[in-house]
Amino acid sequence: MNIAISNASDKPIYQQLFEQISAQILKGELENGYCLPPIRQAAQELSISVITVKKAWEALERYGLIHTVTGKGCFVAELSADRKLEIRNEMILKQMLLDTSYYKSFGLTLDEAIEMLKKVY
Amino acid sequence: MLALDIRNVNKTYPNFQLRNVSFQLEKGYIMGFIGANGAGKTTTIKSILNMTRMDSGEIHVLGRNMAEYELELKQEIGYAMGGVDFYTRSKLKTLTNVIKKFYAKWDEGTYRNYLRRFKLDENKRIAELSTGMKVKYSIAIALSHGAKLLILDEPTSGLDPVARNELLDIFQGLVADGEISILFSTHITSDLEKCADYITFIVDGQIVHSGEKEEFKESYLLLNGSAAQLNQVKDRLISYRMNSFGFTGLIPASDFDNSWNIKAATPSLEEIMVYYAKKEDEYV
Amino acid sequence: MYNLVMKDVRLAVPPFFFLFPLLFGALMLIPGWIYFVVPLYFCWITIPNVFNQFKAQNDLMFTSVMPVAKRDMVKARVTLVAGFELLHIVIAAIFGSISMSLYPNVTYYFFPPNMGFWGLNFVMFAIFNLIFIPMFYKTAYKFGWALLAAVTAAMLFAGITQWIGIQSPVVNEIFYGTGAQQVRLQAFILISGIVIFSAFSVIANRLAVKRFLQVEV
Repeated sequence: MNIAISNASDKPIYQQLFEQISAQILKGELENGYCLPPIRQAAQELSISVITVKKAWEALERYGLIHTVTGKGCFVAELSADRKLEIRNEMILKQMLLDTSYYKSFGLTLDEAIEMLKKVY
Repeated sequence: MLALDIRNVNKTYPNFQLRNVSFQLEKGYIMGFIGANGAGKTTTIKSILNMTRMDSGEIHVLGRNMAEYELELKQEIGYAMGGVDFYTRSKLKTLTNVIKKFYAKWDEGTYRNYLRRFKLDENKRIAELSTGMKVKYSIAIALSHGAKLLILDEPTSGLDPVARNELLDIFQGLVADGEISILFSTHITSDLEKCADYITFIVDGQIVHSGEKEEFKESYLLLNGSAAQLNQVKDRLISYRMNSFGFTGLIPASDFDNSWNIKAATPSLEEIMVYYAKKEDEYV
Repeated sequence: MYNLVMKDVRLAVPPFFFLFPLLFGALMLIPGWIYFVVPLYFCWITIPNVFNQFKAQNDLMFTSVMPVAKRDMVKARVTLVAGFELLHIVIAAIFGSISMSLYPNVTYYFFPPNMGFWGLNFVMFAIFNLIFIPMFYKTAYKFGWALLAAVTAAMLFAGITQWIGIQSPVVNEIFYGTGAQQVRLQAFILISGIVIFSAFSVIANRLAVKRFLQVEV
């Protein structure tokens, strides 16, 4: 599991954690049943607060990406390819919503935006 | 379990007042206690330690009433203060030998371990230690007598960034097993951005907010708008400042209205403190 | 309590202050001197230095965060002071008896260092404690005025008793005499002095506790 946290970023740290881990799960880099480090250990290793990690883990759980086995820890959930796709799209859409409002603030039309996206993608 | 439970503490001084101070710290977490100098942080801490007499209110530590079980509970409280020194001419060895007699659960092995880990030389005098080393020494003492609640009063003041970061890492290590809780007063908010789980914010003797750090920050918004927009929101802002581009102001997130079309962002702890301080100034 | 006294002894009192009783005591070897000065050195030198240490080293804060009762903090401090006073008197008395046997033919203008004189010294320290300790614990921090008042009272007591001892033939007879009757009386004065010293120290402790409980650290 790779995590890179930036204190300078505008995004709250738990958000960064959540996004990075969920991406790794959805891409299949973290397999079914992969055991996430305990919350307090992760907090200490990443030098972030316990609650932050807790919030990220909770968000992952809410999306059904991980599940908690009491006394054992958190494990990457078994997800069907369809379900993975569904979650991925849901998350991407959320980000797109933010991005498009930014494009709109410059008065970009949809076509213009697509055109530009094609160039950089 | 609550490591610390402060309820409705009132205390009146001739020119300062603590009003209904209440907050709770869950066991195993770090709480940052922030506020400007003179806002009441130290008075609150002294009340916790029963060093000042409260006019009213109750303080529970580890589930027991401090007023009733002061001596038993002080066995389990560790205290470190940045910037104030005790018996500076004594050697660490001498001081430790005196202190350990007061604690029933003193563990010499733990003490030796921390001396080694913090690279503390027992034969040095307190005066010869750097500020950071002094805090480490206090922590070594606290942990060796089995403290479950650490009260750190401005422990990072006067530290360089490297020493500060090292201390913060130590604090996080301490709460890692969930047994030790830390109340950490500071006016250096960047320390807390990293390691605090909860924030308690005190302004002029009153608790403005006590709760989880992200929630605390997200309960405010920093607005950036034009001078024309200012009039529309002025009354709801905690305070604001003008510049050539318009204004920047802090507002409770619940008062924010999306239809205003004003750019809003989550503030940092420091920004919240600064805008509150500015509000105080305006009323003085 | 014992730990608190040991804390003061090991941290706050510089070791050479334990040599002072010997140094001051040796002054008893000056034949026919005004021996009241000898125990007073303790009030003039040791007390201000030690209490200044407490203040400069933030003893009040240091002790307050530890698991000790405020009551015991006062008791320990009174024990330290009274113990020191006892030490000074005992050592001075030993040197006093050496002095008396060294110079058997000295004519004493001031009180000779006999039991009666040491009884008066106990009373002098009793007065000192009764004033100094409760006054100090009004703040548990500032000791200047308390010391000034207590030392003045102690010196006044010494001065007045010495003056009476010289002026009044009856008193002079009691304190300067060497007959069996006088020695019995002197022993009685010594015992009374010790009783007064103990009683005043206990009262000083009580008053101080009452005040210290009101102190905001």
